[in-house]
Amino acid sequence: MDLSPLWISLKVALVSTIITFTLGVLSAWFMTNYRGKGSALIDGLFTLPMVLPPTLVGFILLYIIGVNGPVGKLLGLWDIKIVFTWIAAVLASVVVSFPLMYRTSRGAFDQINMDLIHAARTLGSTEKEVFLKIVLPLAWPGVAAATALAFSRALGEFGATLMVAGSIPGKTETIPIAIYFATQGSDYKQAAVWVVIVFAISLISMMFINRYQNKTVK
Amino acid sequence: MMSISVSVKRKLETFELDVHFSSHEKIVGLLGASGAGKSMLLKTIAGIFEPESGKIIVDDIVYFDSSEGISLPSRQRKAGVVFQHYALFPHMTVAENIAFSLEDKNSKENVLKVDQLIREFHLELFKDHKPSKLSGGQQQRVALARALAMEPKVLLLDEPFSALDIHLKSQLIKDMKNALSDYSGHVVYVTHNMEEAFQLCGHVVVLDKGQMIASGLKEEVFLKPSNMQTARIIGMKNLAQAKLVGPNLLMVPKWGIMLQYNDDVIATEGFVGIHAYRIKLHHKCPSENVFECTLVDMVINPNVHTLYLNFSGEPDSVDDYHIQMDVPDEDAWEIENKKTVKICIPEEYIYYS
Repeated sequence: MDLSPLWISLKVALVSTIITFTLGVLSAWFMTNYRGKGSALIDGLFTLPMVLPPTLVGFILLYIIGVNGPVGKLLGLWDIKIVFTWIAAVLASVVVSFPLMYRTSRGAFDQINMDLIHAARTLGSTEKEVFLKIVLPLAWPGVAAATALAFSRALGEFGATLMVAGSIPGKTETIPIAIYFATQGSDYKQAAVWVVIVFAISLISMMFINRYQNKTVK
Repeated sequence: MMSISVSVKRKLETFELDVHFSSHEKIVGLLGASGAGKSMLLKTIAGIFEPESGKIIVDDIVYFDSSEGISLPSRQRKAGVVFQHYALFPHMTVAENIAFSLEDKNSKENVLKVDQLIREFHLELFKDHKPSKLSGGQQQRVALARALAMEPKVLLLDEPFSALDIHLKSQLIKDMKNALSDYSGHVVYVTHNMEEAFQLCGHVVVLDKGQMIASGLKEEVFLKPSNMQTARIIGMKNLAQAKLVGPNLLMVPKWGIMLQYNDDVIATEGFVGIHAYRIKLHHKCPSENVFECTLVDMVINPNVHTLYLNFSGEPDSVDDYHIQMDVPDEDAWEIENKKTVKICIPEEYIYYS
């Protein structure tokens, strides 16, 4: 049996989770403190990919990074093409998993007692220190849960990935795509194996969330 | 010479914060009812909130000056805050909390410093515990030690005793006094309790709905309140408008009485204030201010009976009273089953301004 979809899926999910974590946590903290205009609009835009059809996300991504799109053209100057590579799959996963990371982290940040943050500032902390020493550790159970959710979401991404990365076996064919094509080809046994594997990985990450949330910082 | 000068204006949802005071005293008390803007003012000094306009200067350091466009960020003010609920970092141990402001936590000097603070505040047994395992009094000591560790220019205390049981308070106020005696910077102390303010502070600023209604040395503010709101906040229970109608003779229209008094204030109009515990049963003091009052209501406290009295006939309800007086327990038998009480108001304890 060709295990390449498993490795591709894990690679794509891991890389996209690292990117989503960084972007999601930083934008959540930024928005928690943002008091300027249009905060509701920005918040809405950040959350939107969660409810949009994945094919719509795929369409927009394809438009941007396609060989004739603005980013695609720019990258073309250095002979770089990212559509139909695993990097495109990472991008698709980042876009669809970002809202989960952003929303859940923001919920965790909103729970923090503002006096703790004020206290850290009066005790001489810079904004970076406040974030790393106070905000992140205190919000950690929530942020960890957000990361696990984002990872699982990335692992399960299908529609947008298929549109921007295709299903090149050994290159961009992830487990969800393998399940789809195995089913299409009536290879139910093969599909069932992948189903069990995805099921197991996702279940483990959900259990990880539960463990973490029960172990809140006291 | 040490000095602190605060002058700020800031619009808030329900009122405007408008305070201007300066003091050479080490401990300045901010006194006022809850919701008067005391905490807001404290956090403004700490740089947590920014006023719309004004000037905040501690010794020679300009924290804020709207006309010069100066606003020092919180972290550069060296303002140690003890928050009302202490705001200890729950994920750090007591020792880590205390060491939080120190740059190099492992340097010999700083390790010694933290050790010394732990000993000074009797926290040896708890230094490796998380704050949630500590009692309120212990948490307060950690918060104070954490603020002092950075050698603050000004120490800002936000109702440090309000979250504690009463029986702990007197001991803790003594401890606080000792801790502050070793500290050489300024202290701004927020409280709604006038006894605390009197015990700890040299200078008192009284706030009411964001407005400063009195500021001065504590003796001036407590013994000679300049207006009725201040008199009420420092605990004078009996207050009324009054007129000077003859030499040392006051007319109090609201109460329908004349009062002899022997101070030398000669303003023709003002107010009288009399503490509830200064009014006596008539045979307990020699005074010409003797009145037969109707007993409207009585509340029995642990050590005193508080009587609510009306100078004229039949009251409409239990709220229809003019003055209140405290009668010590041992004299309470004298008023048992009585409808009227004969009282006297000593001339020397009538405050007129």
